[in-house]
Amino acid sequence: MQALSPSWLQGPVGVRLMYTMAIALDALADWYVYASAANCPSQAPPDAVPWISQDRGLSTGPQQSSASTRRQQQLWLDLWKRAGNPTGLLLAIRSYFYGIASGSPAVSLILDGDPVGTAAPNGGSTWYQYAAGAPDFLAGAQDPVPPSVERRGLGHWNWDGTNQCFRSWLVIYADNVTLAAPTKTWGAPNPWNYDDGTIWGISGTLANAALAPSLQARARQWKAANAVIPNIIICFDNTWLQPDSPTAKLPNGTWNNPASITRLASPCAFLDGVA
Amino acid sequence: MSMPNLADMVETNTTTDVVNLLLGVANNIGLSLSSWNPLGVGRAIVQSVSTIISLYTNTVADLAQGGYASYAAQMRGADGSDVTQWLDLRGQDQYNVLRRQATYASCASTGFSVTTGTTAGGTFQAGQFHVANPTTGATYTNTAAVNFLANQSTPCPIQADVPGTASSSGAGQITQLVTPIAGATCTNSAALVGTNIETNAGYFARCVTKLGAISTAGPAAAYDFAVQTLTQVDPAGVLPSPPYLLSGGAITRSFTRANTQTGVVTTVCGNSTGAVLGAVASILTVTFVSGTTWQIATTTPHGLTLGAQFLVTGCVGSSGLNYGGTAATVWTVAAVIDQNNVQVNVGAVGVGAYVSGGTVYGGDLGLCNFVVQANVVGQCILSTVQSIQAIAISPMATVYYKKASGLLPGAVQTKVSNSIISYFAGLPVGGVSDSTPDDSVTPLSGIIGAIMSADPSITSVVFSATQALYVVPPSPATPYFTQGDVSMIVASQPIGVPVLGGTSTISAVPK
Repeated sequence: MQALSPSWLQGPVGVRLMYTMAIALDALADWYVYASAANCPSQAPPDAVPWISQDRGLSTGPQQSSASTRRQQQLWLDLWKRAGNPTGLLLAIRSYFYGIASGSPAVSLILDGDPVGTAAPNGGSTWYQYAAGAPDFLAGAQDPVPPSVERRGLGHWNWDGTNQCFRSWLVIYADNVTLAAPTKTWGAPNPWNYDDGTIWGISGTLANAALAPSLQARARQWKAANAVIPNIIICFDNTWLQPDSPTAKLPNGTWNNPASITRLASPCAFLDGVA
Repeated sequence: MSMPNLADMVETNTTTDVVNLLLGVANNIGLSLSSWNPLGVGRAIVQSVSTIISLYTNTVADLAQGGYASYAAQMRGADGSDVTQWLDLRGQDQYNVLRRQATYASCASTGFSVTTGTTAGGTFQAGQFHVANPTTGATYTNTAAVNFLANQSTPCPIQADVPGTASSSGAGQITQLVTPIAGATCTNSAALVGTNIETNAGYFARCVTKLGAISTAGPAAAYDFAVQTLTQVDPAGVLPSPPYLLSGGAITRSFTRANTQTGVVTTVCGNSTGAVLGAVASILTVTFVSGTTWQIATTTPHGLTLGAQFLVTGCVGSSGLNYGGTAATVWTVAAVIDQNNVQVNVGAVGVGAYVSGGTVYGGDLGLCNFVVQANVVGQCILSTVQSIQAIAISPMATVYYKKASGLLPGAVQTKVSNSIISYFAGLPVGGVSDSTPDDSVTPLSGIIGAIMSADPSITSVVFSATQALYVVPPSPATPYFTQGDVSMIVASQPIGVPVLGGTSTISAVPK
């Protein structure tokens, strides 16, 4: 700038004056660059991250870190490409728990039927599962780590005695997340309080009024339009509701009834499903 | 310097801010500011440069806000109106979704006519003949040449001079001749519907819905995007260009859900005025009538009205009618014989003798269904499209406004009506939840808010002591009065949307 200045601005005062101008113009140029880059997940300032998530149709978990959110934002097209299939739905549910100390939970999606028709040609069930702590995406990968797929014969998963291929159940195995079985009983300390007073059937730091609506919203957003999820199940004992669980630890045909004795005896909390 | 916060980037600096900043820097590097002449060269340079920098901080703020579609959707001008340029850029370049533009209220010649007396009106070329709605003041112009002979009722196609809902008119409301013809009267038998430009909020929501369409597995958002984007230029590679416009206006709201007993996917959709007309029906037979006219008989009611458009697919024998066949077009109903028979003028298209099959996707609803079936529905999935159900609400109210405003009561009534219509049009299908979980209502508080915000001169609204709202649900339900929120549940489903039932129950009183 000094080189461009006329001779009457080349003296001690003039140089300082032009230096002042140059600093301001340099800063302005920097801000143009920052403003242009601020919508990139890797560059965005912290208060811009939620705007990017909105743009990309993504929800952020209650304890999800900024770094995890930015990574999720970079994967937005890879995630949306799978909206409506079991992988996309399970990843969306798992992402609610990103950031919890114990790592991502194990989750299952149990389809009431076998679309391939090999292991269970007459119905049965298909189990899509992510193990506890299993990564969703490997570093640099564009495709997610796929869930394991298991098929079981007719009657193995017997919710209500019928087999309807458009139904599926989401199970979150809570032994690895900040959720736990209730520790208090109905009526204590006052007549209309249950458990710790925050949410029906669940305790723990994530057990608050936002849990059920958040999980339901994710399920509604990421499931296939024709999929009906009768319940989202939080299971407190991971020996239950597994492809290889004994019959006594699986639905016995009566679980569509909330008053079913075996359902009430199960170590599970049942959130309303979505359609 | 590290990346500043977004909040700092979107904050603009005034000239004074920048002057103070520069003087602070100058002071720090040893310039003796106290010796500067207030009108001297140094201060003049600082002042000039500060003015320029201040202007450029506005650009930085715009650039920062416009970098996000969600933020751009909230940008407002000094008058509080949407700033659209940045979201338009984001919508087109980031999502490949175009903003729905405002449309003109219009009708074909069958919807409007002029009846002359003993004096002939003469010939008017397109654009030369003008009429008006005396209640709203909206004006309209003929879109084709017309010759008004004496003692005749002459049909005339017209279009509003200004786009948007403000130019919409119900049947029988366009009764004023702006272009004088002695002894003549005019009226419109059809309603003319114009739509406003899509708001930033609606446009952004539709952009995000597009993400669901990326997947081939068909999440609900894919269905909603398909029906809500039907008015765009060949939005899904199905409909012909030039852009096909739904006769009732764009689908502005929808939701998609699965039947819990069958898994059948239903997309419930509506436009800004309420229900979407049309149906899907199987073809019973196709017969030649005369000239270029053919008649299509359907096994169930076709839901078509005169001038409505429809598609035909899967017709064996009369394959010339099929979309993508010889005609590759959308047909227009030339005559409605009865609820199961319509006639169509096929022009030079060879239709062929009917053998079997065929489906009519009739009217706006049928076309929505066609696009969903063609572009979204996966294998082994059953899907249908259903209209929302209009629930007419008439507020029984007296609106008081400041006499000093100079407004006539009729003008205030019009403003109140338009405000309520706008509020209703923005509500989601099934209304909103009030304090009761799972409730779906149009809240009385929202209607009060719409009335009060209709004009700054309005000071209060007083409802009838016992009958605040008169509600007409879809038949066969019985109309009723209510003092509270209006349920949007129809046939056990949250598919109701409110429409204004009439303005005669709202009176305006200057005070």
